[in-house]
Amino acid sequence: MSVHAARQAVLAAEQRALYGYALVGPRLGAADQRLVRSCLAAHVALRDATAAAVLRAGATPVSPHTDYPELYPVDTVAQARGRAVDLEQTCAAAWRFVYAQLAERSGGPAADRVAAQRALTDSAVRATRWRLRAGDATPAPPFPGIG
Amino acid sequence: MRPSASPADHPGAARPRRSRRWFLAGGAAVVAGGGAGVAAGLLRPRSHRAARPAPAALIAAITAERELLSLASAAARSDPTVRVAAATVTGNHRAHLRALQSALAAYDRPPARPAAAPSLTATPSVRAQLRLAERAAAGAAATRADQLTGSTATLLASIAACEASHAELLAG
Repeated sequence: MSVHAARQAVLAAEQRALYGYALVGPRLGAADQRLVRSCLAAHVALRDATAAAVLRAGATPVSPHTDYPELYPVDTVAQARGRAVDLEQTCAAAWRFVYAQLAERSGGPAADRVAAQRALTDSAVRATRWRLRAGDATPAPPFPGIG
Repeated sequence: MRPSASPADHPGAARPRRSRRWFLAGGAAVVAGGGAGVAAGLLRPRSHRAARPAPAALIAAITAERELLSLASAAARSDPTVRVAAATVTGNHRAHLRALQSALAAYDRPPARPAAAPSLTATPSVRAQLRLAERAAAGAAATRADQLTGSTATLLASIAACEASHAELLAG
């Protein structure tokens, strides 16, 4: 897969995350709302930056889905926190893949790899935050972005 | 009986002229010797061929994981309140070490570099020291990943993300 295809895939993941946080936010209590807002803001920025990168490459950014059935149901606080973990894990995997495509190719702007690393790391940290709130027994997996 | 003297024994004596045949014979000897050397190299066992050294960033990453593992283990012994988090952290660092050592196997074995012994001070708290160490390690791992290419770079990028997660885990 090319870097371009990897960017389109991570854009799709970021769009899914935005839809997902709009779904889980109302199911969570006041104690979680600040974290929801900060996650939403982060994913908006990443979506916009990734879409801009796709445009600079001369391509059309993929469009978000009108619905994401796999994100349902979200009826309880536990389900909402678990869904948030899933959203971050999916983004981490997509960013790791972007990084892998960039790392396979010599040359190209170093800033792109730095940005992909930062996005992978930030998704991993957000996932850990949600796992801690969910009382997950393994709040920090050894290789974020894999499995 | 005195041995016959060579021209070198008589400084200032005129040197004998080298014939064209002498130069041609000497050149042929050089070429033959070089060819024999190349052939010998091809016939040498693989272990005697030129070494493929491991990237410095990979070696440094392995040393760093050993140090983090030691620090996390020392932290768990020193402060019972971090024992649960330290168990996750040490388990992850062991997994990192195994993966990095697998990546190292593709290269010729470098000399072993001993890891620095961990040092925990009285202040700040053990938890804070471990958190700071993990945060610093995350940055260092990301920098090392940028110095590498391919799957090893991506492995180290994941490890950097994990170490940032450790800092988050220890912040609670």
